[in-house]
Amino acid sequence: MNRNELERAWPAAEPPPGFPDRVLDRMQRGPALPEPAPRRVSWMASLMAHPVRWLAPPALVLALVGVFLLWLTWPARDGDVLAAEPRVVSIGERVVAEMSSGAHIRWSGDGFGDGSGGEVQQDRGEVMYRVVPGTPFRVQTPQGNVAVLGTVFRVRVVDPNEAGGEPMKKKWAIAGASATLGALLWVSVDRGSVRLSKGEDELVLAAGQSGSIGADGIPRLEPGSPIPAADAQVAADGDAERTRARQVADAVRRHAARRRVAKQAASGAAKQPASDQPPSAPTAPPMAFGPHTGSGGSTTETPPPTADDARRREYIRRTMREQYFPVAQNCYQELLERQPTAGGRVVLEFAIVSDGDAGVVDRVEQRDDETTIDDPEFTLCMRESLYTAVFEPPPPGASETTVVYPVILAPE
Amino acid sequence: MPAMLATTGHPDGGEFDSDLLARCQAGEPASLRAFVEHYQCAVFALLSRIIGQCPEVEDLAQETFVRAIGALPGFDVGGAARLSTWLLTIATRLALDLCRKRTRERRSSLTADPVSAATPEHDVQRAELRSAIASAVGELPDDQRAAFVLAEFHGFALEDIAAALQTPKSTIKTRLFRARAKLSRALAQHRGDA
Repeated sequence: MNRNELERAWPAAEPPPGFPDRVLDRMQRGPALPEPAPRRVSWMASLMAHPVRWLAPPALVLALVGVFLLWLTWPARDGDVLAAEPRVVSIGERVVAEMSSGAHIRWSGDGFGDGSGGEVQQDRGEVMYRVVPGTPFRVQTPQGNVAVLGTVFRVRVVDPNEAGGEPMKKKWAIAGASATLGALLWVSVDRGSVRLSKGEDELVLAAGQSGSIGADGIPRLEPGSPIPAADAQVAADGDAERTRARQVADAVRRHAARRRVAKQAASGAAKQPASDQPPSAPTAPPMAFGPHTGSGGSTTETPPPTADDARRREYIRRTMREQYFPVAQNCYQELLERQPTAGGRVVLEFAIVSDGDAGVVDRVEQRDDETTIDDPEFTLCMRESLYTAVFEPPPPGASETTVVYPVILAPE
Repeated sequence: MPAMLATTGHPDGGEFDSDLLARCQAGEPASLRAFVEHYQCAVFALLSRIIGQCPEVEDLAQETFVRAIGALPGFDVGGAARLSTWLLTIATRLALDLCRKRTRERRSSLTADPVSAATPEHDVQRAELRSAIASAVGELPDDQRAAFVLAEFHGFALEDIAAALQTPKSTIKTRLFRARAKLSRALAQHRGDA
């Protein structure tokens, strides 16, 4: 179906008569429309007609030099920038802010002009700051403060009124497995170090590390945040940075999983069915699984498993442990903070659908009749976290793979 | 009205005249009216497809233009972003803000009107197709529907959608894939039933 057919099949609303008048009326009632600028007479034409026009070029050069010298010494002005699209803003001579669309920052010129440092108020959105080494610089946000000493770092502020909605949580979950769900302030350091604080609680982040502050106001190191041996040369480009962060987080999770397996083997722990996790981590008994070739719904009756089915089942189980378990463990830790003895079973049903060379998660649902933990915030966290997992695509001939995955949780 | 201020108001009316834009940035009321007339159809189309055909569409459309006009003096004419992309990004953000505040029941406004028994056959089929599509896209999560509308109806490139929704490009690709897959299934089912 092409665009014209789609437009005919899905008609849109038309602007009603008088709409432009109502917009302009509303502008008039609000902040005053700017006065129309007077039409400028062509200055070039008047200049060329002047008797001493030969003085114009050297005079222009002297004027430009003068403006440049004045700009070098002029103190930074106060600023208030709301970025309708990505933009770069210079704050004084020692700070550059790369703002994403929707970001909002404010600052006073005091302190930035003479290089003694200053403070920026970041109300929302994401900004990357590049600060000349040796410059005291602070970013104040509604959720906490960031103090730096010459570095490159990224700050993302979330409006608490938006943070409770599903789309924002899903966005966080998809953006990166290392992002803590429910974080209201998120900081990532590329070079140097920053101090993340709220009230008396503070956390120092080094290059390559990320931290966040949630609704509880406590600064936390992001899970999967690598231990830096040296400054991480993370590209300023958003896509490359997220890919790199995900690779690092994946490597740390795999390494942590191998250490746990080795530790259990060394301590001679009792065998746990279908799991290599300690008791406090999510565990998964054998799961129901089946390829699906229909247009909707899940199958509960499957033919006898083939060797390929067994391989695929083991692959999905391994991928869930590597990618989903660490994030699910965060959900469980948050639940334990509210209910220290919480435990039980969560059964999730989801589909893996093809997306190019990868298989992505679709339609995550919870089997309520089989789930024993009754905490909406926790089960939402468990469902949303599943969207971060990436698999191989469904086998040829199958439009999707339906998976039923029980997770058993118990405190230590 | 001078001929240079005449506008089509059609979604495909092309980019706004640069001379007029300069006058808009200077605050000339006649040029601002022309700006609204030029883009109003596209803004209404986008908003009604994201939030459904409801009274809030005009409120959000007014809000879109008020914000855009307020920010026009700072718009970089020589920059990478087109004016239409910039304006529709503002509209998209406002629409998604409203969606987040709504309850799920409001999505029923996306479905088509019921068809009476006296309606001609081809109108019935068209109405049923509209209903199938509206139902399919109405069930999409708000961000998926927004990405789909921006891509299919307004020709947004992947990076522009990513900027508008403040989401990585890879996530946008996934959302578009899912939205198109869902719509294809709905159309296939409709053709199978017809």
